[in-house]
Amino acid sequence: MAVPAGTMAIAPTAAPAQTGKGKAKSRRRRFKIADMRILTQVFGLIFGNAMLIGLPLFGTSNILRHIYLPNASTKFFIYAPTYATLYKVQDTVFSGWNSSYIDLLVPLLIFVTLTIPLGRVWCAWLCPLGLPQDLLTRLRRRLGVRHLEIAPHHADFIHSLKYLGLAVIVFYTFALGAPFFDLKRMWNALPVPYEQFDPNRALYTYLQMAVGLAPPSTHVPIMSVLVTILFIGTCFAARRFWCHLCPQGAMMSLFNKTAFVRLRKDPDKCTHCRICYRVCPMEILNVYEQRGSSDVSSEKCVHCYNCVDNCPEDGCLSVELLGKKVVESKYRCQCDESGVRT
Amino acid sequence: MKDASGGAQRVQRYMNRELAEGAAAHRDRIREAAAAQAQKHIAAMKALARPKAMEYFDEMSDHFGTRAEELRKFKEAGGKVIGSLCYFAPAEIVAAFGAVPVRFCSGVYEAVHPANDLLGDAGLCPLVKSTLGLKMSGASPILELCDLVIVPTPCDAKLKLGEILQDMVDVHLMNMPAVKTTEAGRQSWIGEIKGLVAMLEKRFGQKLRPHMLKKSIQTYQRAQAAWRRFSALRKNGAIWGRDALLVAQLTFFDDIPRWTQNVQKLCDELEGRGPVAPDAARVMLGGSPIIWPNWKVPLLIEESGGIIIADELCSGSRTMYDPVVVEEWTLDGMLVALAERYMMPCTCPSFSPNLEREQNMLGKIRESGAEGMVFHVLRGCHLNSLDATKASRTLREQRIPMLKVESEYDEGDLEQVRTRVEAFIEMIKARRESSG
Repeated sequence: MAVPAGTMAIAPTAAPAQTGKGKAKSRRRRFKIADMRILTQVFGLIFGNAMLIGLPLFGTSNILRHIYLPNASTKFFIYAPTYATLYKVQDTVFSGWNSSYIDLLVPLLIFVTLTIPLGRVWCAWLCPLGLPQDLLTRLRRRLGVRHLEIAPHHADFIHSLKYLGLAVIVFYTFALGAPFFDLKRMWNALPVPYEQFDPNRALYTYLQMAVGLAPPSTHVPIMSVLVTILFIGTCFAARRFWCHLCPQGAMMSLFNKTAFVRLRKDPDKCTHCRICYRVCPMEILNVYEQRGSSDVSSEKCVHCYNCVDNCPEDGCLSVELLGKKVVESKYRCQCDESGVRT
Repeated sequence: MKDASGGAQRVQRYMNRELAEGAAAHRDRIREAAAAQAQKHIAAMKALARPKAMEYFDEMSDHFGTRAEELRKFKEAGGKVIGSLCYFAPAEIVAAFGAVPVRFCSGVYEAVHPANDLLGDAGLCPLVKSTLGLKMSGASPILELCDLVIVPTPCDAKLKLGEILQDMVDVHLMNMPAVKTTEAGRQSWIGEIKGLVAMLEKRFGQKLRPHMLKKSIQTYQRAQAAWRRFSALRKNGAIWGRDALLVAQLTFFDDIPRWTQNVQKLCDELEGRGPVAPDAARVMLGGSPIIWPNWKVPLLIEESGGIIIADELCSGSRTMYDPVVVEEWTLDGMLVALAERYMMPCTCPSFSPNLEREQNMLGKIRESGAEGMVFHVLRGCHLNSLDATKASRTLREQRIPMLKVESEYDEGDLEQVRTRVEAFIEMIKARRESSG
């Protein structure tokens, strides 16, 4: 641990030569991660996981249909050739009693293959529910409405609800399908739960109807409409509130702490200014509080990297993929981005 | 308590006519001594190569010169000048109302005497005594222009200084939490910031609108960006530390947009330049604030063959280093961002557990490549004296040499301090040779 005195003393003399004129400027990160994310999300919405125009591009492919995505892509996107794992899990849990749930194996294997490397990266970068949340947050800021500050212990409680939600969904579906529960009567009232209140369903079906992608007669369950209204409402009160509760997020969170994508912090460079905590939509305190370990990855993190984006210390926070640094924090004057020249 | 200009009688608990007359008698002497002290230091600084753009800062450093005249005119035209006693009072908020924030801390040696007449030997730090003396005697025209002084209370000395100042000027005290790791402490500070806004709103008869605060925050953000650029150049040794400290110092009084411009100009000039003293021992300076014209320690270090390439002084780097990062530009969002900026990253010894301080000190030493640390303690500044002990432990573990320098506000200890600093610098250079 102790750095030999010699290296401490001698290293600096080399430092002045490194920071020449051009180098200091070229090293400056010009783009904002938040903007990159919006771009990726729009791209993902159109061509990727949500596949608004997926079918015309790829056609109905049997193989593609079975590559279930870990994030909240709904089964009800008209042109989406594939959909989220949770739907597949529900369907197989419901119908799998007779086949001993053997059909669960493939979707879960695909899920694990996609989630072990990336964790919840899907949430902030590709999920079709992330984009509306981010855009509505921008709108909320424009309107000058401040979000609610959720205290860390409350946030922890809300975060834990997602696991409860996931457990309830899986258990209820299991109970529906398992003969000894004899819940067939419930089938009419609430068939397969997540389909009914997925905010995606109402959000995008109406959008698709509006632009003529979906026939106007498409059925949207009333629950989904209500949840969507709630979903939009929360965007004006809290940041990425749905991500706190999302059952698909809960599934991914199981692998988030061990994902190949890591958030790292150089505790020596940290000034404990608390900015990372203030800008974190998931209210993760650890990034701010951590003083010892360099790994500040969290089970709750959706990998939006607002913290890396806003950290004013060069190289203090960084994102690593398999030990390779992808991006790191860099001081920048906030005035630059609001269009005011220095 | 009415505005001083209203002529209302103040309740005086500390001051009386005798003291006021005694202090007033000091006025001219303090002015002369302060001017002499400043001129002597400027001359010493000019003795070595320095950038041309420093001329601006030399000119502005004069408490009685250009800037005082500007502020006097500003006030005559109906402007408000608001003093503050510490780093913690957010200048952005004062500036948002169109008032000019001025930091009150003083480094004038001679001004200690009127305060001693009042306090006796109170064992208070000379910075506080000098500030009090300056106000008692009315020697500094800039301080006389302040209608109100905002006094955050990080330490006992500032707390009581705020109390005593109430005999002479309107004072707004801000309670500083000593523990910043708790949510309650943070909330209390945010409450103080909001209280400050409410008080200023009442005083100015004007509501604080988000756009006013946003504009003001952006002005300071630009200043912070300039300071960051400057710090990087300074780290390379392109400028003497005493000049760099003077640049930081002027954020106390100067017009911030103009200061920013001049810092950028200075950076343009320094860009691409090599170190001014390649062989000098690279030193980091920390500890008690060093307020112009108390330039004793920086000059001693740099005259003894060292160069101050980084500092963690609340009168130096800390003034502009940490940026305000606003996520939400609502009034509330901005005030929270401001409150956190002034409290969270601050390494003032008034906080406990002040783990940031050691960590930042080490971080800065590594980043700047400093070879040793000089920890300056003003005699009577107990908090920094205690932190010096802690710092010496931490630095010893990392095998970084540290020198604790205790000093008063006079030149009596000059030679004694010089001997110690010289020995320290020699030691650093010897280490360099033995290891490389």
